[in-house]
Amino acid sequence: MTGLGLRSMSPGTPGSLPSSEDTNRENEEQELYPIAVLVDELKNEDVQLRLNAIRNLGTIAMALGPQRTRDELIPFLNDSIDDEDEVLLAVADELSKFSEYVGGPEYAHFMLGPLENLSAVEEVLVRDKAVESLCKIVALLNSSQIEHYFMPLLKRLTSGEWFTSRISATGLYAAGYSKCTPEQRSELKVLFAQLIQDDTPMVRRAAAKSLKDLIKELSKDVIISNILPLFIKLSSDDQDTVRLLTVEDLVQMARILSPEESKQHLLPILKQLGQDKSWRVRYMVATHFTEICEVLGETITREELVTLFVSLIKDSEGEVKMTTIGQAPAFAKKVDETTVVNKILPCIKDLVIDTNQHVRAVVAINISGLAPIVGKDLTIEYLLPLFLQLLKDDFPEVRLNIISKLEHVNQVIGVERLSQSLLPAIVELAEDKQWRVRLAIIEYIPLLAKQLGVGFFDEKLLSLCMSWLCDTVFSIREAATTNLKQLVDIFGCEWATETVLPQVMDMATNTNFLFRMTSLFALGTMATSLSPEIIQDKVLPTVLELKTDPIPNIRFNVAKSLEVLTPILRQSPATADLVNTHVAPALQDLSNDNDVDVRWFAERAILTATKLTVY
Amino acid sequence: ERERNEWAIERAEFKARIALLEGERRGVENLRMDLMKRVKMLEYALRQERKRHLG
Repeated sequence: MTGLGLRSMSPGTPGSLPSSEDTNRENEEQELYPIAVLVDELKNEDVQLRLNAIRNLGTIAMALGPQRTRDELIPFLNDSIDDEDEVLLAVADELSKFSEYVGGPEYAHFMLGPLENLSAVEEVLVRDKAVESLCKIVALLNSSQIEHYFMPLLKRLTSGEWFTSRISATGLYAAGYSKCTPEQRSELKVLFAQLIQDDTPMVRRAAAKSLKDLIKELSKDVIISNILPLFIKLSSDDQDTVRLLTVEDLVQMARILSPEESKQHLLPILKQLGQDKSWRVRYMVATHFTEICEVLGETITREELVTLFVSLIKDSEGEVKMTTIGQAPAFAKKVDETTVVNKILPCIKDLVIDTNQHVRAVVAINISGLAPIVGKDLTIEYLLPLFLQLLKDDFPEVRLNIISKLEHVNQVIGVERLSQSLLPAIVELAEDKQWRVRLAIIEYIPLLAKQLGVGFFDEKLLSLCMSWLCDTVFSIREAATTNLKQLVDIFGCEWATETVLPQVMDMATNTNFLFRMTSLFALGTMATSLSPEIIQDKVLPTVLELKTDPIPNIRFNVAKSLEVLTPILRQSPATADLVNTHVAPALQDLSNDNDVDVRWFAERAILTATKLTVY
Repeated sequence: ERERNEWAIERAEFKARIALLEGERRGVENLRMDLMKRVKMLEYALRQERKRHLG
């Protein structure tokens, strides 16, 4: 990146003796000569500025005009750009939009030169961007440009000495193929075959990756006669990174071939890939399993793929098992019921007691998806025992997953049947000796309530929720209060006044001060979800009643609760007055308490209340 | 002692901030110069173009 003989390029007249005005003009001319401006900018130390210079390359080209852009700027970009990868990336990007600056599509081939250089650099991102731009430009070329410029370029890259250019070449075939004449096409096929059989795995990998795009452009005959032998070679490559990429090619080929042809040509390869010794290849097959079933059609899926699916679901590698289970509901939809019951369900039964907790978690999330497929009776017979087992799993994610998907099962077997079998399990967990287990089940209650509906909840679970408020462990009581708030959010204020509030208010008169405190906590947390009217009628009187409690802990919690209630009461004009008539006097009383903590919290509540009035 | 430390830390933070802002300013200034040059270049190109049309 130097001065690169600017003087010879600028149209000055060195022969004649210039007058001072002439020198000025010549200087100006020299300085404002667009390429000189660009060179100047590219000399800057700050990468960001050089990047800006390239991002606005269009302006330079515009100032030069099409003719001189072709004659001067493009050659300059061709051989004197040597910069950070970031800047090169920008050059590669800009060049894709350059066809208007060089004089329209009939000159588009001029950009191929600099892009060819960029597609051979070491940095992957630059190369990929250059290939992307090349593909865009190829779309603009006419047949003579293809013949004179694109084909030679492709040949050069394909037989490039350094593997980077060969990798870039693989990306260009799909873009160029449709534009070529039949003779050129057969030439392309030969060249691509060369890349597929390259010595370096990097190039073979790139070829396998771009093969699926090329396949889209090809006809059936060409695929069967030309591509299939190459594909077989790739699918038995000694590198597993190459083999795993062929799975997607296979899917693409099956899309174009008819089911019979696929069965004849592709099925053996698929089976081989599904039993590959590298788990990553098997993982790829598992990931694309539903897609494979779709493209191969129902008959082949039923007849041939069940065994493969079963072997994948029983795989030794957890990752493979997990992806396969993820596809189980979709796969079960495609095969008949007997197969599901005889082949797939036994596998799932084994996985429920798998040693890997992540596998069990994935089973839990997908197993309920099977319920709509096997129908009511079979769900009750086969799936429910598995549900119950998963519900008792040690790993919390397993339990969460099974509970969060209960909806599907609910739709199939009905809430009655579900509650019959599910409820005992939940109750058992809710009364577990370990408080952590109890805590875990509390956390899922809102989710469960949302899915099972209010009727079911009131009947079976409400008493459970209330009993947690009297638990001996504080964490459980605390979780129970937040649980109540979430339930109010789900079922609404009305429901709260009828069912929850009376019982909570009852607790306020309990002889144990801890329960009185829980009652306060529950009211405080629920308050934000209740309407001001309910607070006026039910919550506020209960809270105020406790302000003369003999235990100071209760009294300062009254102050804290009042602090929460004040802004809610202010929201409605009907209840706003209560702040002045009831809350403020109570807080005044408390601020004269003989306990220091009570005074402190009361004063803080007064402060927040007055702050709210000011703002 | 603690206050002194805090003061020193705060001072260092402010210094770093000043350096950052100064750097940013320099960058923007440079960018402005480059942009001015581009504008002049385009003006010149426009003048030439116009001359050619009239001539």
